[in-house]
Amino acid sequence: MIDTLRAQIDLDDRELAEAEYDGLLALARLQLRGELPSLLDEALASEPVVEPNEALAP
Amino acid sequence: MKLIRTIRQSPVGRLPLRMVLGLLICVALLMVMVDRLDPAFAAPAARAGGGFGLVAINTLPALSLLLALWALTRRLALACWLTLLAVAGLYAANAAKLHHLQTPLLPADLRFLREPGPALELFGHYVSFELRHLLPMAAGVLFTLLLWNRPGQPGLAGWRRVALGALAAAATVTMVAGSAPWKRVFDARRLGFEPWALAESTTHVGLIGALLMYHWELGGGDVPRADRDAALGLLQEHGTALRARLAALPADGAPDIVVLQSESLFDPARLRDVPSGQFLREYHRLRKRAKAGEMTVPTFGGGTIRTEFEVLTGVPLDTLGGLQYPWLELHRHDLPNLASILSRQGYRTTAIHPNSAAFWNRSKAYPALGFEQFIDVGAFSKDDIVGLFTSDAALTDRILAELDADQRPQFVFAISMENHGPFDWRPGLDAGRLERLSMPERLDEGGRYWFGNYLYLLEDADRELGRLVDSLKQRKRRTLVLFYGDHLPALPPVYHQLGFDDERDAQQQTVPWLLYDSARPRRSVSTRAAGCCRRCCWTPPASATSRTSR
Repeated sequence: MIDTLRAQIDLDDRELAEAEYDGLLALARLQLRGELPSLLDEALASEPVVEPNEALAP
Repeated sequence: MKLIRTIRQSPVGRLPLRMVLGLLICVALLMVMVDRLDPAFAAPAARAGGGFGLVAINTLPALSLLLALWALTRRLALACWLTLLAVAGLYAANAAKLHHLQTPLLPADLRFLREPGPALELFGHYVSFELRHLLPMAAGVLFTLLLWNRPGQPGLAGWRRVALGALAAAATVTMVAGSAPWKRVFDARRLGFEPWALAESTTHVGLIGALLMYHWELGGGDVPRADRDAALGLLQEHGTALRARLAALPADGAPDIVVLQSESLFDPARLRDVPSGQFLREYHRLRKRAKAGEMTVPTFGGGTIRTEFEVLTGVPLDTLGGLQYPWLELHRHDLPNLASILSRQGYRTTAIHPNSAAFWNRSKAYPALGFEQFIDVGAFSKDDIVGLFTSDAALTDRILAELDADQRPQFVFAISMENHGPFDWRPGLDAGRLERLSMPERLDEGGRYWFGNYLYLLEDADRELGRLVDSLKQRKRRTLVLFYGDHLPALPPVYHQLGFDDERDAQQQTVPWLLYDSARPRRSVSTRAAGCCRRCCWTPPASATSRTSR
């Protein structure tokens, strides 16, 4: 997920827009709170795309 | 005269005048000490405007300690002396931390006092003790006993003593809890306190005030709240790409995985006059057959726990509002991380670190993170020590032994110890090997001593990386090895005398990483230039903060 977002959002050459910054900050905190997998499901599809807590699996 | 009469008729005025005067003198002494010892007040700007007010509010917590000790002992001089000692000790610890780590003292540092043994053992290596120190120490103890032997103040008995104790307790409890009056005194906005910029905040607020405000901000021990809508919006905005990528996740088998965090490892070729490839030869040999690069780490000179947290969880500390030491400050440790994820996928999960398990609270954090076993210094022999700490060779042996200990796929997370500071004192190293180390001519004798000790141990770390990978190549089972340095070492004279090729400060330098796959050893190098923006960088360091090496 992060690799994809990195490819979509140019993190290197510019300051982030406020919405991007807030979104990334929230994603990081949600990951630590264990709430990211359910959010991913909600955001991307009606059917689960990843198993719980596998969002950062190598 | 009228004023004096009024004071005498008030409850305070009925206290013996000597006690009131003594208290005022003690407060003045505390303020002078805070003013003289706090680095924040050394700056001319602080003295020019607002300096007195800042000194005063930084003295308030010490004043509540003074009142508590006074109520307990009924001896103002003794209470004053002990408070002065406590404040001096606090500033001494802050100075030592600033010297070695360029970071001010934090409330979490005081949590080492809960289990002082391992901390004293490690940090004791940084303190030199000489016989001449005994005299002032003995004088201090004698002076304390002398004050203790003086009779308690008869004026401070009965209800006065109870009232004083209650006042001190109320002040302390409300202060620690961050009650409204105190938050008005220590107004974060007015004083310029920002928990995510702690060093700068401490220079605005003063050490004691910053400690208190940092505790208010982050003492809750939980991950800060997240803006779920912002996250949802970002995911939906990039939904198409995310759906395509997540649907195409490879379904490879389960290789063994070794993550090796190498203590204080960086490439000395970043320094001026140090040729590329002179050191870290094994690393440079292996990177031709691996993915490799440089990465930004969240700490300098120490604070291994910070890099370790980011690698295990994939979450940068910067997103946690100023949290510094996660295993100490977060109350919950069941955070999604590599160990818990791999454990659910059938991996046997092992952490190895030849230091005390209690250090950084790892003994509690690691089991909660999902590690089945945590092998600490107790599993290593004293014969394994090189210099001051367990050798990297012994660590390699243990990693290899663990990989073959079970049929299940293995996840081994190892943190080395041999190259831990200090570098200005290192007994037990081979003098001949030290002499043969090649160093820039510009370094003076002191710089050569620091740098030589570091390079000696760096050579060991690099050699062991080569041995580990070569041994893994002999295994039938596919193994992934992620190797990286946790931070730059504290080598002030070396950095001062040589400087860096890119002219940045030592704190801004990067450390090398390498990802080796034993099944694909000839895979072409792919170190795309990448990095993270200044404000936000949520990515596992090994992938997203990579930078093409020079």
